[in-house]
Amino acid sequence: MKKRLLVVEDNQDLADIYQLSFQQAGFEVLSVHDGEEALKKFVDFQPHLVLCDIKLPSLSGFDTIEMMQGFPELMKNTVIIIISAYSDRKLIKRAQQLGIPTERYLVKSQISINQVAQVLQGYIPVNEASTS
Amino acid sequence: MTQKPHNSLNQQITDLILDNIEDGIFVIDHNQQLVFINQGGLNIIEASTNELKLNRPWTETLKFVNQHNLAVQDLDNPLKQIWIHQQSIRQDAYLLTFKDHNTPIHLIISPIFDNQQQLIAVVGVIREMSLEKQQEQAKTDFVSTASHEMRTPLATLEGYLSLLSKQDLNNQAKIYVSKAHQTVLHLGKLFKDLLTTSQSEDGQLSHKPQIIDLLDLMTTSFNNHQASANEKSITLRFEKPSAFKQGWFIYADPKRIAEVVDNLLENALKYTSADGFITLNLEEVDDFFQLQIKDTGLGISQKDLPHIFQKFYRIDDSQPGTGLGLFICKKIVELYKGAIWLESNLDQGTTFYVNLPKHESG
Ligand SMILES: Nc1ncnc2c1ncn2[C@@H]1O[C@H](COP(=O)(O)OP(=O)(O)O)[C@@H](O)[C@H]1O
Ligand SMILES: [Mg+2]
Repeated sequence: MKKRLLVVEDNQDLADIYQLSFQQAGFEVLSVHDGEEALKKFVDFQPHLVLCDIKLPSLSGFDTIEMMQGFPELMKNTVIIIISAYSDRKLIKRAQQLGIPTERYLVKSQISINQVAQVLQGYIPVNEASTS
Repeated sequence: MTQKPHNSLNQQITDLILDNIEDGIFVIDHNQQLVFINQGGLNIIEASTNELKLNRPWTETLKFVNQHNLAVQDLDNPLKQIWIHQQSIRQDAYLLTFKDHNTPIHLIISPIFDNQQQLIAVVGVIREMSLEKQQEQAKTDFVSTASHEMRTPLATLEGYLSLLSKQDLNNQAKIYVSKAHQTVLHLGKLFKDLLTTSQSEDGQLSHKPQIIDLLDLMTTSFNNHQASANEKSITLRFEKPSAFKQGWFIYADPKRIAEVVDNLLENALKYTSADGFITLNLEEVDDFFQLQIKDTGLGISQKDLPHIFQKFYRIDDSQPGTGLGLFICKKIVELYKGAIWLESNLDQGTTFYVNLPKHESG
């Protein structure tokens, strides 16, 4: 069984890139462009991983993550990873307050897309060892 | 004219002080109403006495915004946060004045408790930031905004090139794509270095220290550079120390320390020619762990040695680079009260040493 990855990214180009690259890396990828959509899919799609941008059109990435945490049952099986163009101390701190350590705060352009894929794979093996 | 309730001598003196100091002073009561603000405060927010709205919600008078004049969110609004955390807050902020100017200020606010430890009021001091400080801040903001604005397009470019490189291309096209990809990755590193440099110059190097194992971190960095060493026919070795009994623990931000090790390894690889050797070492020296990176490369002449940690200093331009790597290494190492130095002779290679204080477990 492929691992489900929910990508929350409002930049269409980046969303396309993530979709293709992470599919090639072996994930089942669903991408959405805003926080509201992300919340809906979080419940329906039950992703193993969420890759979330911070600067989003209405709800911010932080708001979105906070609301996802309102579903503790689902959150138990989900790892959240932030990817942002911003790296201010304040934002990193805010992420920590939401339980996301610096290793899971990735900065756009400071990490290649292949490295992002590696980080994602590091949190969850793409194929469970037991499945054939 | 500000509030002058009593007329004792003490009160007169206090009023005189309050009316004449440049700092703004204000008081907010537990109903979230602004109950007092002195003349200095009015000057800073560019309000006249008749515009002043005392005994009204403080939000009508003290408007916290970001540098683009947008109201800050509650989580970033110190006057909202203080009621939750009930602790003094000291921070830089922007106020939107009554004349719609954006004024950078330094703010200190403190909670006032009654005998029952109930928070009954908040008193605050606003200080206009000096022109010098403002300019410094503007520069930092600019560099930070500029590099952020560049990150998204750069990440997009990198992503497309990465996808392109996985397509079925002819050999020549493969080489071009790979070169373009490398260049874009290099540009990403350049922006990162510029941002780090600008942060470190005003003592704002962001970092999140934690307990980390230096041996693990060096092993990762060593593994990451093995491929490029092979490519250049350089032998990269790590003479791993026999396991230190307490572990190689330091207290630092793993990303920042990795930045140091990566920079030194990249330099060694860059400035060593084919068939050379690069050796990593880790040792215990008194209260420090000492990391050594030794190469058999170009070496550095006595005349260049004193300048090698200066920013933008480069000995020759034959290799790509910015001259920021070693400057950043030094800033990071100093942040953790460590030391970095080198021994080198022209044409005989270079050894860099980094001392980092051991983490004393309690
Ligand atoms: N291991 C080394 N061997 C020889 N020269 C070095 C070595 N490391 C650094 N240098 C010299 O020091 C300069 C500054 O290094 P650095 O700050 O990392 O900038 P950059 O590598 O971007 O030029 C380099 O340009 C190079 O001339
Ligand atoms: Mg360098």
